[in-house]
Amino acid sequence: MFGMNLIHAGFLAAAAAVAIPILIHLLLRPRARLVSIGTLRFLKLAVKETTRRRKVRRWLLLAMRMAAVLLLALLFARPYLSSSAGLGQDSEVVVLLDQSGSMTATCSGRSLFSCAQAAAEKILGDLPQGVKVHLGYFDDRGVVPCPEARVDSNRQSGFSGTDFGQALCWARDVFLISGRQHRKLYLLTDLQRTGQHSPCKGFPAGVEIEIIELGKPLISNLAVDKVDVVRPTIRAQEPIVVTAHVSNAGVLPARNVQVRLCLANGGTTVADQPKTISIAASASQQISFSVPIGQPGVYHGFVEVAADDGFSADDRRWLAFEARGADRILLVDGEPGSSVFANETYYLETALRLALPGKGSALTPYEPIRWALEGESHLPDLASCGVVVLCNVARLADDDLARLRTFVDSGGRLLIFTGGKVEPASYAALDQAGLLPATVEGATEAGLFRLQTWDADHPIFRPMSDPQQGDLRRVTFRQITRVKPATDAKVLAAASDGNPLLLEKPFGRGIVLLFASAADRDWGDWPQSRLYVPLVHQIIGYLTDRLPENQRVRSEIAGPGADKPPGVVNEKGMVLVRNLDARESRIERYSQKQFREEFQMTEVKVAEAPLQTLAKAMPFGAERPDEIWTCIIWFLLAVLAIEIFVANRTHA
Amino acid sequence: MLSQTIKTAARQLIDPEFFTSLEDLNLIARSVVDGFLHGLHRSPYVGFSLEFASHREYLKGDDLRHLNWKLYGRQDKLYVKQYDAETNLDLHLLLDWSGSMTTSSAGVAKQRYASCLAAAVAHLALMQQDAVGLTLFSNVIQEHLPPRAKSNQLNEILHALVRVPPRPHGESAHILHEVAELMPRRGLVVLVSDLFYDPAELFSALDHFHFHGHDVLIFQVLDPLERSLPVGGAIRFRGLETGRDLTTQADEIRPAYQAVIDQWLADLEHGCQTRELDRVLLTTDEPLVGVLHNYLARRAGHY
Repeated sequence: MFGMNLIHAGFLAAAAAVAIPILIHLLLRPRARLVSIGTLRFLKLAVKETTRRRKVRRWLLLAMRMAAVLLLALLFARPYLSSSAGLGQDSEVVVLLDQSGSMTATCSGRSLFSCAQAAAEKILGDLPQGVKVHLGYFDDRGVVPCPEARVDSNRQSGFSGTDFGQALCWARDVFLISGRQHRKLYLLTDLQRTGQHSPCKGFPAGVEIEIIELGKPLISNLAVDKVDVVRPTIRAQEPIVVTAHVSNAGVLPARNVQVRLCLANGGTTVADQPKTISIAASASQQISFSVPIGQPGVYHGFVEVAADDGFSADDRRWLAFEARGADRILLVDGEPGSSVFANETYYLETALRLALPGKGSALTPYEPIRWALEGESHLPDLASCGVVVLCNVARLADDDLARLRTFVDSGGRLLIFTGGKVEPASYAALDQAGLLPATVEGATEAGLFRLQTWDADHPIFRPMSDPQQGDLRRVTFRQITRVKPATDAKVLAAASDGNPLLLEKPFGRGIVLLFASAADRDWGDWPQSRLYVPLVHQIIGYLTDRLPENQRVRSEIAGPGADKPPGVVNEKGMVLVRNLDARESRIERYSQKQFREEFQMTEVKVAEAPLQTLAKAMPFGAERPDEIWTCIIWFLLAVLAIEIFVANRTHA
Repeated sequence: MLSQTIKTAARQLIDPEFFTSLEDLNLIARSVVDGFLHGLHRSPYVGFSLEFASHREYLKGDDLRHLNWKLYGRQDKLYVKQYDAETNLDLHLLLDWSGSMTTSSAGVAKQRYASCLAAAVAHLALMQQDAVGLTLFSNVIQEHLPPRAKSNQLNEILHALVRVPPRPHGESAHILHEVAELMPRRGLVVLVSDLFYDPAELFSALDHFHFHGHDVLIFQVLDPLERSLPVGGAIRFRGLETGRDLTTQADEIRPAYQAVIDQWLADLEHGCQTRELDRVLLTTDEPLVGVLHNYLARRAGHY
């Protein structure tokens, strides 16, 4: 099967000249002169006999003249036949369009994605009838197939990363179940080398793969790769620090580049700080902005680099964070030791002061306050505390108990660690006050108690559900406190003997957690476990609403499409920060050979490939071997000959 | 209406053009007739007295009463005396005076051509002492002069030919039946017309003349335009009898028109031959002298 294409399609506009013969016919129509004759009887008979023949001749003449004009226009448009042998009823075609963030880069004023759309439209338009077509848009979120296999002209490029593996696997699966002989994949992409792909092991034999590389590799690209808020905790005399990583992917250094932070709270601009940096070629640099913030609240803005490259989507990165003061954690030490290290709260306090790696700041958002509760001493004022932690406290005075009850009832959080001093009798008052999630039944005999089961869906244990993040079963205790859960309590974790180890109970507007073992090394070496600090942070974070699940600010990749553009939006009480996938800022590309090797694509030669390859290699406008202008000329001459023949027999 | 007609007639009486036309017609008729030999005009009717004309050899079956015995005595051969019979002929000139006769693509209208022809025939006949009558008709009888042989009959005829205008309507041959009723005496009917009638009606009327014992001679006068359509390009033809128009490309329909005309003429010829009628087809670009010469030669051979 053949399809006709044109080299100079613009000349087809000259086909409008087909109106000329009609205009000539209408404008230069001869005026009939008046002649008197005796009778019209014979004329009527003659006209009746010749009317049909004359009409046929005239229409034929007009058709010939219009055809001559059309053929002339077609001749100048230089048509050629593109052979599409092998397609048709026995063919299946998959067209994959890259809609990752890098496709928003521009080339000659058009985005690569719009170029891909146009190329796909042309590919689909050139396909002969009967070809089974699959069209899909892909990024690292997967492939979005178009049900009708038509280019969605309303679709815009997304901001996600690139995953060729997923897309190629999808195409491979299509070809695997295809029963058609000729199968071809068109891959329209910028061949960005992002480095992360799902595995895809080759295609079935006989599948032809045509990679259409869009645009040209960028020679420079400045991007804001990452923005962090190092200290979102409001402290006196300490500003909140925003750090931004600006990368220069080009081969030339970028000097005196302006980077700007804009930050606002509601409608009020809090910071607009420009800074100038220089970045070496193929390097990145971190830049910090200190923003004095004294008021709690949600702050949003962006960091922007002034870049003049072909990829502007990564020049600005949005951020938002919730600034709040540090949480005061009252650590009530029920068994102060002779030294600091012997204190019941030593490990706990140390863990709360120790920032976890990757959090960006050496300071934690917690402010632990140790309070030794010995003899007749009482609890301090609880009003300024967010969380009260009782560590092996033997008993509480009645007024302390009352204040503690009021504290929890009004929204305070209470965490209780047991220990050797915790006796059933002394905790009966707490139990009666409703502040215990379980009834204390006494300490167990010495043994080995392992943290065996836990509620993986609870925010405290959710990050640890993956053993790769730390196996909680390695946390062991020599002794634990036997407890009997209250009816309104929830067991969050249990020991290997089945005894509840961590229980939760709501009380009033507050929460009470009971950990049935000691917080120090009295009942085991678990404070020395590498899971101790994360577990303590998870428990305290849960009680202080600092876990990610409780955060009002969340981040996600923007797009796809224009409905979710990069920026900061409020949705359902949450603050969403949408940004371009940072991996899309890379400008390295695969060569087609590298790409085929990476994804084990073998080139399949088809019969007409030499001609098509030759045609593609030729400069625009050069004569193609498959042009059919000679046929058009012969056809035109034939039309003109018929026109002359008919015109000589058709009177004006 | 009547007063208008009277005014028109009175104007024509003093119109110099009218008299010029009248004189022209007379001169044309005389010049045409003078071009013939008197001997070529033979009476179509056999007579038995009157003027001796010539001798011829006796042929078997000749009446012995006409033998010239004196000549037999001198030359010992039998000769028969021949006489010009006393014609006593009523010549009825019937002229189609309808609108179609005003066609004049060649410069001479058919009506003018027919007038000249009728005047010439009338002059010729009156010179033979025949009684000549004239009837002008279209869809009505516009003028009727009974046959007379008096000396001023020619003037009457010429006057009528010039004076009476043609009427536009006249596509039906039914009027010929009325004309036939006006001619009770047997004679020679010379019909000058373009014969743009329905053939059936025409031959029915001509049969009517036959029924009354008339001998019918038809001069069919056509304009060259009607005969062969020698015009080209887009033409708006206007029918002179109906006043309607028909626009067409004359070049394209000419072959078909020619075929239609030829078929029509062939039908007319066949009808005339069937009824032993003489029909002479004339076009207005033919010289009238030649036409009369050919006709009278044929007429002589016929009788």
